[in-house]
Amino acid sequence: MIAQVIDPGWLGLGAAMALMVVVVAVAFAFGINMVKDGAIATARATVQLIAIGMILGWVFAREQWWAISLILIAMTATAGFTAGRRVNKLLRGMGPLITLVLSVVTALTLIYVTQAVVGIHDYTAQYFIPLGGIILGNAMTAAVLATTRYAEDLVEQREKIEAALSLGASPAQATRAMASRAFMAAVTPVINAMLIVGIVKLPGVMVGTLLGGVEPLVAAKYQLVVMFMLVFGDGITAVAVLQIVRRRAFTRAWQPRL
Amino acid sequence: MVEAAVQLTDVRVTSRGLRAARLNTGGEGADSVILDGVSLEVAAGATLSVLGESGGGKSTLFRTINRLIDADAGNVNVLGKGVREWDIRGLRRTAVYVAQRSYLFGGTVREELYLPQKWNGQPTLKLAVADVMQAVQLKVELERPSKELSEGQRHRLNIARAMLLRPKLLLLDEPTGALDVRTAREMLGEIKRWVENEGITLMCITHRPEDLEVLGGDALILLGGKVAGRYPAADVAAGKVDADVSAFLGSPS
Repeated sequence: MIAQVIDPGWLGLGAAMALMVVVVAVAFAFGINMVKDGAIATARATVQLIAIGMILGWVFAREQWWAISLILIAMTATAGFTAGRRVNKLLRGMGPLITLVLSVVTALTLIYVTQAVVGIHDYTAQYFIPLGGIILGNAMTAAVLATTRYAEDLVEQREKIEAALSLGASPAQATRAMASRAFMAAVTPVINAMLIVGIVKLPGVMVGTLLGGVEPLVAAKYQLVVMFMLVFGDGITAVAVLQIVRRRAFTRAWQPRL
Repeated sequence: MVEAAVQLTDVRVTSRGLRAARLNTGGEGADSVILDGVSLEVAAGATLSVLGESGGGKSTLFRTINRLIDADAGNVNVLGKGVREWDIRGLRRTAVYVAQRSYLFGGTVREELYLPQKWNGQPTLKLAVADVMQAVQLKVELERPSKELSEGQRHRLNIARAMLLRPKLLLLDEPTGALDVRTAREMLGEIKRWVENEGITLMCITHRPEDLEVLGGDALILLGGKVAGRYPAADVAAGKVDADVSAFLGSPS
Protein backbone atom coordinates (compact mmCIF):
# COMPACT_ATOMS: atom_id res chain seq x y z
CA MET A 1 0.00 0.00 0.00
CA ILE A 2 2.76 2.45 0.89
CA ALA A 3 4.25 3.51 -2.38
CA GLN A 4 7.81 4.65 -2.64
CA VAL A 5 8.07 8.39 -3.43
CA ILE A 6 9.75 9.02 -6.75
CA ASP A 7 12.66 11.46 -6.58
CA PRO A 8 12.27 14.09 -9.35
CA GLY A 9 16.07 14.07 -9.62
CA TRP A 10 18.27 16.99 -10.61
CA LEU A 11 17.32 16.55 -14.24
CA GLY A 12 13.64 16.61 -13.32
CA LEU A 13 14.22 19.73 -11.29
CA GLY A 14 15.82 21.32 -14.34
CA ALA A 15 12.77 20.35 -16.38
CA ALA A 16 10.55 21.98 -13.74
CA MET A 17 12.60 25.15 -13.93
CA ALA A 18 11.93 25.16 -17.67
CA LEU A 19 8.34 25.99 -16.70
CA MET A 20 9.61 29.19 -15.09
CA VAL A 21 11.55 30.04 -18.21
CA VAL A 22 8.50 29.42 -20.39
CA VAL A 23 6.15 31.59 -18.34
CA VAL A 24 8.70 34.41 -18.15
CA ALA A 25 9.14 34.20 -21.92
CA VAL A 26 5.38 34.18 -22.53
CA ALA A 27 4.98 37.20 -20.27
CA PHE A 28 7.79 38.94 -22.11
CA ALA A 29 6.08 38.28 -25.42
CA PHE A 30 3.08 40.14 -24.03
CA GLY A 31 5.28 43.05 -23.03
CA ILE A 32 5.59 42.16 -19.36
CA ASN A 33 9.14 42.11 -18.12
CA MET A 34 9.45 39.77 -15.14
CA VAL A 35 12.84 38.41 -16.10
CA LYS A 36 14.56 39.86 -13.05
CA ASP A 37 11.79 38.99 -10.59
CA GLY A 38 11.47 35.50 -11.99
CA ALA A 39 15.23 34.91 -11.88
CA ILE A 40 15.58 36.15 -8.32
CA ALA A 41 12.58 34.14 -7.10
CA THR A 42 13.83 30.99 -8.82
CA ALA A 43 17.36 31.39 -7.45
CA ARG A 44 16.27 32.19 -3.91
CA ALA A 45 13.69 29.42 -3.71
CA THR A 46 16.17 26.89 -5.08
CA VAL A 47 19.02 27.84 -2.77
CA GLN A 48 16.77 28.10 0.34
CA LEU A 49 14.90 24.86 -0.25
CA ILE A 50 17.88 22.76 -1.28
CA ALA A 51 19.75 24.04 1.77
CA ILE A 52 16.92 23.23 4.16
CA GLY A 53 16.43 19.89 2.43
CA MET A 54 20.06 19.02 3.07
CA ILE A 55 20.02 20.22 6.67
CA LEU A 56 16.82 18.34 7.42
CA GLY A 57 18.20 15.27 5.65
CA TRP A 58 21.10 15.34 8.09
CA VAL A 59 18.79 15.77 11.08
CA PHE A 60 16.32 13.09 9.91
CA ALA A 61 19.16 10.63 9.41
CA ARG A 62 20.39 11.06 12.99
CA GLU A 63 17.17 11.55 14.99
CA GLN A 64 19.04 13.32 17.78
CA TRP A 65 16.80 15.21 20.21
CA TRP A 66 19.20 18.16 20.30
CA ALA A 67 19.36 18.42 16.51
CA ILE A 68 15.56 18.47 16.26
CA SER A 69 15.40 21.07 19.04
CA LEU A 70 18.06 23.17 17.35
CA ILE A 71 16.06 23.24 14.12
CA LEU A 72 12.87 24.21 15.97
CA ILE A 73 14.69 26.94 17.90
CA ALA A 74 16.29 28.31 14.74
CA MET A 75 12.92 28.38 13.00
CA THR A 76 11.34 30.18 15.96
CA ALA A 77 14.10 32.76 16.12
CA THR A 78 13.87 33.42 12.39
CA ALA A 79 10.08 33.72 12.56
CA GLY A 80 10.27 36.12 15.53
CA PHE A 81 12.94 38.21 13.89
CA THR A 82 11.06 38.40 10.60
CA ALA A 83 7.81 39.35 12.34
CA GLY A 84 9.60 42.00 14.42
CA ARG A 85 11.14 43.51 11.31
CA ARG A 86 7.81 43.62 9.50
CA VAL A 87 6.06 45.51 12.28
CA ASN A 88 9.05 47.69 13.13
CA LYS A 89 7.71 50.76 11.34
CA LEU A 90 4.57 50.80 13.45
CA LEU A 91 5.94 49.54 16.73
CA ARG A 92 9.60 49.13 17.55
CA GLY A 93 11.13 46.37 19.61
CA MET A 94 8.36 43.79 19.12
CA GLY A 95 10.72 41.09 17.80
CA PRO A 96 11.80 39.53 21.13
CA LEU A 97 8.27 39.59 22.51
CA ILE A 98 6.79 38.00 19.39
CA THR A 99 9.55 35.38 19.50
CA LEU A 100 8.57 34.56 23.07
CA VAL A 101 4.89 34.25 22.13
CA LEU A 102 5.73 32.08 19.12
CA SER A 103 7.86 29.70 21.17
CA VAL A 104 5.24 29.23 23.86
CA VAL A 105 2.35 28.83 21.41
CA THR A 106 4.30 26.45 19.15
CA ALA A 107 5.52 24.34 22.05
CA LEU A 108 2.04 24.01 23.56
CA THR A 109 0.38 23.24 20.23
CA LEU A 110 3.04 20.72 19.27
CA ILE A 111 2.83 18.91 22.57
CA TYR A 112 -0.95 18.71 22.43
CA VAL A 113 -1.14 17.59 18.83
CA THR A 114 1.60 14.99 19.07
CA GLN A 115 0.55 13.61 22.44
CA ALA A 116 -3.23 13.91 22.59
CA VAL A 117 -4.16 13.90 18.90
CA VAL A 118 -1.77 11.79 16.86
CA GLY A 119 -0.13 9.86 19.68
CA ILE A 120 3.54 10.20 18.84
CA HIS A 121 5.48 9.35 21.91
CA ASP A 122 8.95 9.57 20.45
CA TYR A 123 10.56 12.88 19.71
CA THR A 124 10.92 12.23 15.99
CA ALA A 125 12.01 14.67 13.32
CA GLN A 126 9.42 13.29 10.89
CA TYR A 127 6.52 14.72 12.95
CA PHE A 128 7.96 17.49 15.08
CA ILE A 129 9.75 19.44 12.38
CA PRO A 130 7.01 19.68 9.74
CA LEU A 131 4.28 20.27 12.32
CA GLY A 132 6.41 22.80 14.22
CA GLY A 133 7.29 24.55 10.98
CA ILE A 134 3.73 24.94 9.79
CA ILE A 135 2.53 26.18 13.20
CA LEU A 136 5.36 28.70 13.34
CA GLY A 137 4.94 29.98 9.81
CA ASN A 138 1.24 30.57 10.29
CA ALA A 139 1.56 32.01 13.79
CA MET A 140 4.21 34.42 12.53
CA THR A 141 1.87 35.71 9.83
CA ALA A 142 -0.92 35.93 12.40
CA ALA A 143 1.32 37.96 14.73
CA VAL A 144 2.23 40.37 11.95
CA LEU A 145 -1.36 40.75 10.73
CA ALA A 146 -2.75 41.31 14.23
CA THR A 147 -0.05 43.79 15.22
CA THR A 148 -0.23 45.73 11.98
CA ARG A 149 -3.98 46.02 11.90
CA TYR A 150 -4.27 46.95 15.58
CA ALA A 151 -1.43 49.46 15.60
CA GLU A 152 -2.72 51.10 12.41
CA ASP A 153 -6.15 51.47 13.95
CA LEU A 154 -4.68 52.89 17.14
CA VAL A 155 -2.96 55.59 15.12
CA GLU A 156 -5.85 56.29 12.77
CA GLN A 157 -8.56 56.28 15.40
CA ARG A 158 -6.64 58.04 18.11
CA GLU A 159 -9.25 60.76 18.58
CA LYS A 160 -12.07 58.28 18.89
CA ILE A 161 -10.05 56.27 21.41
CA GLU A 162 -9.40 59.44 23.37
CA ALA A 163 -13.12 60.17 23.38
CA ALA A 164 -13.75 56.75 24.95
CA LEU A 165 -10.88 57.14 27.43
CA SER A 166 -12.33 60.51 28.42
CA LEU A 167 -15.54 58.75 29.38
CA GLY A 168 -13.70 56.41 31.72
CA ALA A 169 -13.03 53.54 29.31
CA SER A 170 -9.90 51.47 29.88
CA PRO A 171 -7.59 51.01 26.87
CA ALA A 172 -9.05 47.50 26.45
CA GLN A 173 -12.60 48.86 26.43
CA ALA A 174 -11.74 51.80 24.23
CA THR A 175 -10.11 49.57 21.60
CA ARG A 176 -12.32 46.48 21.81
CA ALA A 177 -13.71 46.81 18.28
CA MET A 178 -10.21 47.39 16.87
CA ALA A 179 -8.78 44.41 18.75
CA SER A 180 -11.49 42.13 17.47
CA ARG A 181 -10.91 43.32 13.91
CA ALA A 182 -7.20 42.64 14.33
CA PHE A 183 -7.89 39.19 15.76
CA MET A 184 -10.16 38.35 12.84
CA ALA A 185 -7.51 39.56 10.39
CA ALA A 186 -5.13 37.03 11.95
CA VAL A 187 -7.40 33.97 11.84
CA THR A 188 -9.39 34.72 8.68
CA PRO A 189 -6.84 33.24 6.23
CA VAL A 190 -7.11 29.79 7.82
CA ILE A 191 -10.85 30.08 8.41
CA ASN A 192 -11.38 30.97 4.76
CA ALA A 193 -9.16 28.10 3.69
CA MET A 194 -11.31 25.76 5.81
CA LEU A 195 -14.45 26.90 4.00
CA ILE A 196 -13.23 26.04 0.51
CA VAL A 197 -10.93 23.16 1.34
CA GLY A 198 -11.52 20.06 -0.77
CA ILE A 199 -14.09 21.81 -2.93
CA VAL A 200 -11.99 24.39 -4.70
CA LYS A 201 -8.52 23.13 -3.99
CA LEU A 202 -6.48 20.50 -2.26
CA PRO A 203 -4.54 22.06 0.58
CA GLY A 204 -0.76 21.83 0.92
CA VAL A 205 -0.55 19.28 3.69
CA MET A 206 -2.92 16.92 1.91
CA VAL A 207 -1.04 17.28 -1.37
CA GLY A 208 2.22 16.56 0.46
CA THR A 209 0.98 13.53 2.31
CA LEU A 210 -0.72 12.15 -0.82
CA LEU A 211 2.52 12.55 -2.76
CA GLY A 212 4.25 10.83 0.10
CA GLY A 213 2.07 7.79 -0.54
CA VAL A 214 -0.36 8.20 2.33
CA GLU A 215 -3.86 6.81 2.01
CA PRO A 216 -6.31 9.61 1.00
CA LEU A 217 -8.52 9.27 4.06
CA VAL A 218 -5.51 9.46 6.37
CA ALA A 219 -4.27 12.46 4.38
CA ALA A 220 -7.66 14.12 4.85
CA LYS A 221 -7.53 13.50 8.59
CA TYR A 222 -4.08 15.00 8.80
CA GLN A 223 -5.26 18.02 6.89
CA LEU A 224 -8.09 18.51 9.36
CA VAL A 225 -5.78 18.13 12.34
CA VAL A 226 -3.46 20.70 10.80
CA MET A 227 -6.23 23.21 10.15
CA PHE A 228 -7.67 23.02 13.65
CA MET A 229 -4.15 23.28 14.99
CA LEU A 230 -3.43 26.34 12.88
CA VAL A 231 -6.58 28.19 13.92
CA PHE A 232 -5.61 27.49 17.52
CA GLY A 233 -2.02 28.61 17.05
CA ASP A 234 -2.98 31.73 15.09
CA GLY A 235 -5.75 32.69 17.49
CA ILE A 236 -3.72 32.28 20.68
CA THR A 237 -0.80 34.11 19.09
CA ALA A 238 -3.07 36.98 18.04
CA VAL A 239 -4.60 37.29 21.51
CA ALA A 240 -1.19 37.33 23.18
CA VAL A 241 0.30 39.77 20.70
CA LEU A 242 -2.68 42.13 20.98
CA GLN A 243 -2.22 42.26 24.77
CA ILE A 244 1.44 43.13 24.29
CA VAL A 245 0.71 45.83 21.73
CA ARG A 246 -1.95 47.36 23.95
CA ARG A 247 0.36 47.41 26.93
CA ARG A 248 2.97 49.23 24.90
CA ALA A 249 0.56 51.58 23.18
CA PHE A 250 -0.89 53.07 26.36
CA THR A 251 0.71 54.44 29.51
CA ARG A 252 -0.33 53.27 32.95
CA ALA A 253 -2.41 56.44 33.16
CA TRP A 254 -4.35 55.27 30.09
CA GLN A 255 -2.79 57.79 27.73
CA PRO A 256 -2.31 56.77 24.10
CA ARG A 257 1.33 56.57 23.03
CA LEU A 258 0.85 55.85 19.35
CA MET B 1 -13.37 79.60 51.29
CA VAL B 2 -14.99 77.39 48.68
CA GLU B 3 -12.94 74.36 47.71
CA ALA B 4 -11.39 74.69 44.26
CA ALA B 5 -12.69 72.19 41.72
CA VAL B 6 -9.68 72.77 39.50
CA GLN B 7 -6.41 74.41 40.27
CA LEU B 8 -3.53 74.80 37.83
CA THR B 9 -0.18 76.14 38.97
CA ASP B 10 2.48 77.17 36.45
CA VAL B 11 1.47 74.51 33.98
CA ARG B 12 3.83 74.16 31.07
CA VAL B 13 3.27 71.93 28.06
CA THR B 14 5.63 71.82 25.09
CA SER B 15 5.40 69.98 21.80
CA ARG B 16 8.72 68.35 22.69
CA GLY B 17 7.24 67.00 25.92
CA LEU B 18 4.18 65.67 24.09
CA ARG B 19 6.36 63.97 21.49
CA ALA B 20 8.53 62.39 24.18
CA ALA B 21 5.44 60.74 25.62
CA ARG B 22 4.72 59.08 22.28
CA LEU B 23 6.27 56.02 20.65
CA ASN B 24 7.91 56.12 17.25
CA THR B 25 7.81 59.88 16.87
CA GLY B 26 11.56 60.46 16.94
CA GLY B 27 12.96 63.69 18.27
CA GLU B 28 12.26 65.95 15.33
CA GLY B 29 9.61 68.55 14.64
CA ALA B 30 8.93 72.08 15.73
CA ASP B 31 9.65 72.82 19.36
CA SER B 32 6.87 75.08 20.48
CA VAL B 33 5.49 75.97 23.88
CA ILE B 34 1.78 75.17 23.97
CA LEU B 35 1.03 76.18 27.56
CA ASP B 36 3.48 78.63 29.10
CA GLY B 37 3.09 78.80 32.87
CA VAL B 38 -0.69 78.73 33.09
CA SER B 39 -2.20 79.18 36.55
CA LEU B 40 -5.90 79.28 37.24
CA GLU B 41 -8.48 78.27 39.76
CA VAL B 42 -12.13 77.41 39.38
CA ALA B 43 -14.28 77.25 42.50
CA ALA B 44 -16.55 74.24 42.93
CA GLY B 45 -19.85 74.83 41.20
CA ALA B 46 -18.54 77.83 39.25
CA THR B 47 -18.43 78.31 35.49
CA LEU B 48 -15.35 79.29 33.53
CA SER B 49 -15.32 79.92 29.81
CA VAL B 50 -12.03 79.75 27.97
CA LEU B 51 -11.42 81.87 24.90
CA GLY B 52 -8.37 82.18 22.70
CA GLU B 53 -6.94 81.79 19.21
CA SER B 54 -7.18 78.40 17.57
CA GLY B 55 -4.09 76.34 18.35
CA GLY B 56 -3.60 78.53 21.39
CA GLY B 57 -3.63 75.68 23.89
CA LYS B 58 -7.27 75.66 25.00
CA SER B 59 -7.84 71.97 24.32
CA THR B 60 -4.40 71.13 25.67
CA LEU B 61 -5.34 72.90 28.89
CA PHE B 62 -8.45 70.74 29.22
CA ARG B 63 -6.52 67.58 28.39
CA THR B 64 -4.11 68.15 31.27
CA ILE B 65 -7.11 68.22 33.61
CA ASN B 66 -8.44 64.77 32.70
CA ARG B 67 -4.87 63.58 32.18
CA LEU B 68 -5.09 62.59 28.55
CA ILE B 69 -1.68 64.26 28.57
CA ASP B 70 0.81 65.07 31.28
CA ALA B 71 2.22 68.57 31.70
CA ASP B 72 5.99 69.00 31.40
CA ALA B 73 5.98 71.09 34.56
CA GLY B 74 3.56 72.57 37.06
CA ASN B 75 0.70 71.14 39.04
CA VAL B 76 -2.83 70.23 38.09
CA ASN B 77 -5.23 69.60 40.95
CA VAL B 78 -8.77 68.32 40.68
CA LEU B 79 -10.89 68.60 43.82
CA GLY B 80 -7.79 69.33 45.85
CA LYS B 81 -5.86 66.26 44.68
CA GLY B 82 -3.04 66.21 42.13
CA VAL B 83 -4.11 64.46 38.93
CA ARG B 84 -1.21 62.03 39.27
CA GLU B 85 -2.53 60.92 42.66
CA TRP B 86 -5.97 60.15 41.32
CA ASP B 87 -6.99 56.66 40.27
CA ILE B 88 -7.16 57.31 36.53
CA ARG B 89 -10.68 56.02 35.99
CA GLY B 90 -11.88 57.99 39.00
CA LEU B 91 -10.34 61.14 37.57
CA ARG B 92 -11.77 60.69 34.08
CA ARG B 93 -15.23 60.04 35.50
CA THR B 94 -14.99 63.01 37.88
CA ALA B 95 -13.69 65.46 35.28
CA VAL B 96 -15.36 64.44 32.03
CA TYR B 97 -13.92 65.99 28.90
CA VAL B 98 -15.96 66.22 25.71
CA ALA B 99 -13.79 66.91 22.68
CA GLN B 100 -14.84 69.15 19.86
CA ARG B 101 -15.47 66.33 17.42
CA SER B 102 -18.16 63.89 18.35
CA TYR B 103 -17.71 60.13 18.13
CA LEU B 104 -20.30 57.41 18.18
CA PHE B 105 -19.52 53.87 19.22
CA GLY B 106 -22.42 52.15 17.50
CA GLY B 107 -25.87 50.95 18.43
CA THR B 108 -29.00 52.83 19.35
CA VAL B 109 -29.19 56.21 21.04
CA ARG B 110 -29.92 54.43 24.30
CA GLU B 111 -26.91 52.11 23.96
CA GLU B 112 -24.78 55.07 23.05
CA LEU B 113 -25.86 56.85 26.23
CA TYR B 114 -25.38 53.83 28.48
CA LEU B 115 -22.02 52.72 27.11
CA PRO B 116 -19.86 54.79 29.47
CA GLN B 117 -21.86 53.44 32.41
CA LYS B 118 -21.08 49.95 31.19
CA TRP B 119 -17.40 50.80 30.90
CA ASN B 120 -17.42 52.18 34.41
CA GLY B 121 -19.60 49.46 35.88
CA GLN B 122 -22.25 51.92 37.05
CA PRO B 123 -26.00 51.48 36.95
CA THR B 124 -27.86 53.94 34.74
CA LEU B 125 -30.68 55.98 36.17
CA LYS B 126 -33.65 56.16 33.82
CA LEU B 127 -34.73 59.55 35.14
CA ALA B 128 -31.32 61.01 34.45
CA VAL B 129 -31.57 60.07 30.77
CA ALA B 130 -34.65 62.23 30.30
CA ASP B 131 -32.92 64.99 32.22
CA VAL B 132 -29.79 65.13 30.11
CA MET B 133 -31.70 64.71 26.85
CA GLN B 134 -33.71 67.75 27.89
CA ALA B 135 -30.55 69.63 28.84
CA VAL B 136 -28.95 69.16 25.43
CA GLN B 137 -32.27 69.77 23.66
CA LEU B 138 -32.18 66.41 21.98
CA LYS B 139 -35.57 65.03 21.08
CA VAL B 140 -35.01 61.66 19.42
CA GLU B 141 -36.31 58.14 19.90
CA LEU B 142 -33.98 56.27 22.24
CA GLU B 143 -34.28 53.14 20.08
CA ARG B 144 -33.14 54.89 16.91
CA PRO B 145 -29.75 53.85 15.53
CA SER B 146 -27.37 56.64 16.48
CA LYS B 147 -25.93 56.61 12.97
CA GLU B 148 -29.15 58.14 11.65
CA LEU B 149 -28.70 61.31 13.70
CA SER B 150 -27.68 64.56 12.09
CA GLU B 151 -24.29 66.10 12.84
CA GLY B 152 -25.76 68.53 15.35
CA GLN B 153 -27.77 65.78 17.05
CA ARG B 154 -24.72 63.55 17.32
CA HIS B 155 -22.86 66.37 18.92
CA ARG B 156 -25.54 66.88 21.52
CA LEU B 157 -25.71 63.12 22.11
CA ASN B 158 -21.99 63.26 22.88
CA ILE B 159 -22.52 65.91 25.49
CA ALA B 160 -25.52 64.09 26.97
CA ARG B 161 -23.46 60.92 27.25
CA ALA B 162 -20.82 62.77 29.24
CA MET B 163 -23.40 64.42 31.49
CA LEU B 164 -24.95 61.07 32.27
CA LEU B 165 -21.75 60.07 34.04
CA ARG B 166 -22.65 62.73 36.63
CA PRO B 167 -19.20 64.25 36.74
CA LYS B 168 -18.17 66.80 39.34
CA LEU B 169 -16.55 68.75 36.56
CA LEU B 170 -17.70 69.01 32.98
CA LEU B 171 -15.14 70.12 30.38
CA LEU B 172 -16.75 71.07 27.10
CA ASP B 173 -14.53 71.80 24.10
CA GLU B 174 -16.42 74.15 21.76
CA PRO B 175 -19.84 72.62 22.34
CA THR B 176 -21.51 75.22 20.15
CA GLY B 177 -19.17 74.98 17.17
CA ALA B 178 -21.41 72.64 15.17
CA LEU B 179 -24.70 74.31 16.06
CA ASP B 180 -26.65 77.24 14.75
CA VAL B 181 -26.86 80.31 16.97
CA ARG B 182 -30.37 79.68 18.26
CA THR B 183 -29.84 75.99 19.09
CA ALA B 184 -26.48 76.83 20.66
CA ARG B 185 -28.05 79.43 22.88
CA GLU B 186 -30.87 77.16 23.98
CA MET B 187 -28.57 74.25 24.63
CA LEU B 188 -26.03 76.26 26.62
CA GLY B 189 -28.86 77.74 28.68
CA GLU B 190 -30.17 74.27 29.49
CA ILE B 191 -26.70 72.92 30.27
CA LYS B 192 -26.08 75.89 32.51
CA ARG B 193 -29.33 75.24 34.37
CA TRP B 194 -28.46 71.56 34.71
CA VAL B 195 -24.95 72.14 36.11
CA GLU B 196 -26.33 74.70 38.56
CA ASN B 197 -28.99 72.26 39.76
CA GLU B 198 -26.49 69.46 40.15
CA GLY B 199 -23.75 71.65 41.60
CA ILE B 200 -21.35 70.74 38.80
CA THR B 201 -18.36 72.86 37.84
CA LEU B 202 -18.41 73.79 34.17
CA MET B 203 -15.46 74.70 31.98
CA CYS B 204 -16.29 75.55 28.43
CA ILE B 205 -14.15 76.48 25.44
CA THR B 206 -15.85 78.82 23.03
CA HIS B 207 -14.98 81.42 20.45
CA ARG B 208 -18.34 83.12 20.47
CA PRO B 209 -18.70 86.07 22.85
CA GLU B 210 -22.48 85.64 22.70
CA ASP B 211 -22.09 82.23 24.41
CA LEU B 212 -20.65 84.07 27.41
CA GLU B 213 -23.91 85.88 28.13
CA VAL B 214 -25.62 82.54 28.57
CA LEU B 215 -22.80 80.84 30.44
CA GLY B 216 -22.10 83.60 32.95
CA GLY B 217 -19.36 83.12 35.50
CA ASP B 218 -15.84 84.06 34.45
CA ALA B 219 -14.08 84.09 31.10
CA LEU B 220 -10.41 83.31 30.75
CA ILE B 221 -8.49 84.55 27.73
CA LEU B 222 -5.61 82.36 26.60
CA LEU B 223 -3.19 83.95 24.15
CA GLY B 224 0.08 82.39 23.03
CA GLY B 225 -0.16 79.75 25.73
CA LYS B 226 -0.44 82.35 28.50
CA VAL B 227 -3.35 83.66 30.49
CA ALA B 228 -3.98 87.10 29.02
CA GLY B 229 -6.75 87.94 31.42
CA ARG B 230 -9.71 86.78 33.41
CA TYR B 231 -12.90 88.79 33.52
CA PRO B 232 -16.52 88.39 34.49
CA ALA B 233 -18.13 86.83 31.41
CA ALA B 234 -20.55 89.73 31.15
CA ASP B 235 -17.67 92.19 30.79
CA VAL B 236 -16.12 90.24 27.93
CA ALA B 237 -19.48 89.98 26.20
CA ALA B 238 -19.84 93.74 26.61
CA GLY B 239 -16.30 94.42 25.40
CA LYS B 240 -15.10 95.81 28.74
CA VAL B 241 -11.61 94.29 28.60
CA ASP B 242 -7.95 95.32 28.27
CA ALA B 243 -6.62 96.53 24.95
CA ASP B 244 -4.70 93.37 23.92
CA VAL B 245 -7.62 91.12 24.75
CA SER B 246 -10.06 93.35 22.97
CA ALA B 247 -7.77 93.38 19.93
CA PHE B 248 -7.99 89.59 19.91
CA LEU B 249 -11.75 89.56 20.39
CA GLY B 250 -12.05 92.03 17.55
CA SER B 251 -14.61 94.10 19.38
CA PRO B 252 -14.47 97.87 18.96
CA SER B 253 -13.37 99.57 22.16
